Amino acid sequence: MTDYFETLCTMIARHFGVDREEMDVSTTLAELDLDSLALVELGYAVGEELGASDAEQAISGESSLGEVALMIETANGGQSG
Amino acid sequence: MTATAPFDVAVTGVGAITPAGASATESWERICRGEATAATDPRFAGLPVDITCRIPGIDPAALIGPKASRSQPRVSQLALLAAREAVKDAGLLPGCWDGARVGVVIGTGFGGIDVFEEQHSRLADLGPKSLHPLVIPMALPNMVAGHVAMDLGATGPNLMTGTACASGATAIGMAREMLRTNMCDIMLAGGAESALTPMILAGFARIGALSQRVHQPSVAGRPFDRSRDGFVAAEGAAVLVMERMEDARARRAFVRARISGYGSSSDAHHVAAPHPQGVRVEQATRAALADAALGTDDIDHVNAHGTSTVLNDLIEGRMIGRVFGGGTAVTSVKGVTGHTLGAAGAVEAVCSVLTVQHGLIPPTAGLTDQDPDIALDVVTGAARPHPVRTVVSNTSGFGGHNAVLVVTAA
Repeated sequence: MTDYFETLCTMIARHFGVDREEMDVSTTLAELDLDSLALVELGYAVGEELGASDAEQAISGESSLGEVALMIETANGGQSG
Repeated sequence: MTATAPFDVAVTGVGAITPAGASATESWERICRGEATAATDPRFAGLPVDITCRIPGIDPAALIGPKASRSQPRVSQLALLAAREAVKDAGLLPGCWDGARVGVVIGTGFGGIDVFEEQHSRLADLGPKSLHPLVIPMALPNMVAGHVAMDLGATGPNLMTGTACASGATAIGMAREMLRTNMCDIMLAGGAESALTPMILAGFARIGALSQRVHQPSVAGRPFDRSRDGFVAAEGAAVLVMERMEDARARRAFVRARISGYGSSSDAHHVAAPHPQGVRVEQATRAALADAALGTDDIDHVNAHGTSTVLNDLIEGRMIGRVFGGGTAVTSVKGVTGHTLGAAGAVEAVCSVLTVQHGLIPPTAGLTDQDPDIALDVVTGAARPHPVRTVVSNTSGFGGHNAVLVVTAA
């Protein structure tokens, strides 16, 4: 999961200008001040760039970065855990 | 009709990003050197016309930063860079002004149509779920003015003007009215365009507006030349900071020039072709002169619309000769910049401001054999040093829109 987590953090930093140091596996998207439209954008970007096309429906402000990384890993055929 | 006293506004800042350069100064220097910017554009290989004038060497999104640029189409990024440059040039600090007294008027022809076109292909090929969630706010043309306000904290009146290729001049003219009526104290006004897409290029080619000289791009745009055959499509943005004269003086701002008159009219004639006698562009020119309380003999120079299309240059050229006589120095910077469409009126307003400030008239690039039916003193070859106190800057757009500015010395 580590690689997907790092990729996700890099993407969030690039798209939303969030400092990498603010991001941990347990950090939720709401804690990063991503509003509802930003969540849709993130879901879109995760689907387009990282292949997790179901993420747009699955993620919410309560999702942690670790959970989103796991969605990406699962969508890419990786083993959970 | 009640006569009103002449109303001058101070131009205290200029910003521009054009195919000629990434700043107003860089653009002005290349425009004065008369070096054409048109080149073959590999993105349009296979289209009937594949030459454009593009902004070279910089990545606007990188300059703005990822957080802001992710939701902005390129046209907004260009407008933002020009606006930031103009505000800095004016010596203003966005955090330190009363934002409610700062207004924004930006003209654009197409807004974020590049995003719209790309996303339309996705809709057709991949279905509605493939659309970018921000497609609507990125494509709306008014967002260009909205993005400038968001970036600079300008919370006063805010709008975009849509008069096709006259949009930038219309924006400056309307911004001056907003200063006159005290709606704002500071206006950021100009134009922006970045619509170099397959649809737009092919569409302009279809209506016969583009030069067919695809094998000689550097001389494709040749305003007022006997063998002109159309314009080269370009992208760019330009913004002026405008203030009432007394406000500019009170804060001891450097005044580059004044906007002293504005006139507008409609041909009410044809969707694309200008009125054959140019009576309405003449009407707008005379209205701008009356607004500035200047006579035709008072004008030292005309910065022409000069698109390099057969009809525009003939009709505009004859109008200039009719109104000002054949002795007034005329130029069209589109030989260098190409036609920046909705930004053109603002780019040319910046050039007019710098012409009166520096006493230098840029040459009309590409012009070697002047059309004998256009009996004007068109500046060619090299820039002409000439003390210029007054400039008339013309623009016209599809739909029959005419917008004319009078720029005078500080």
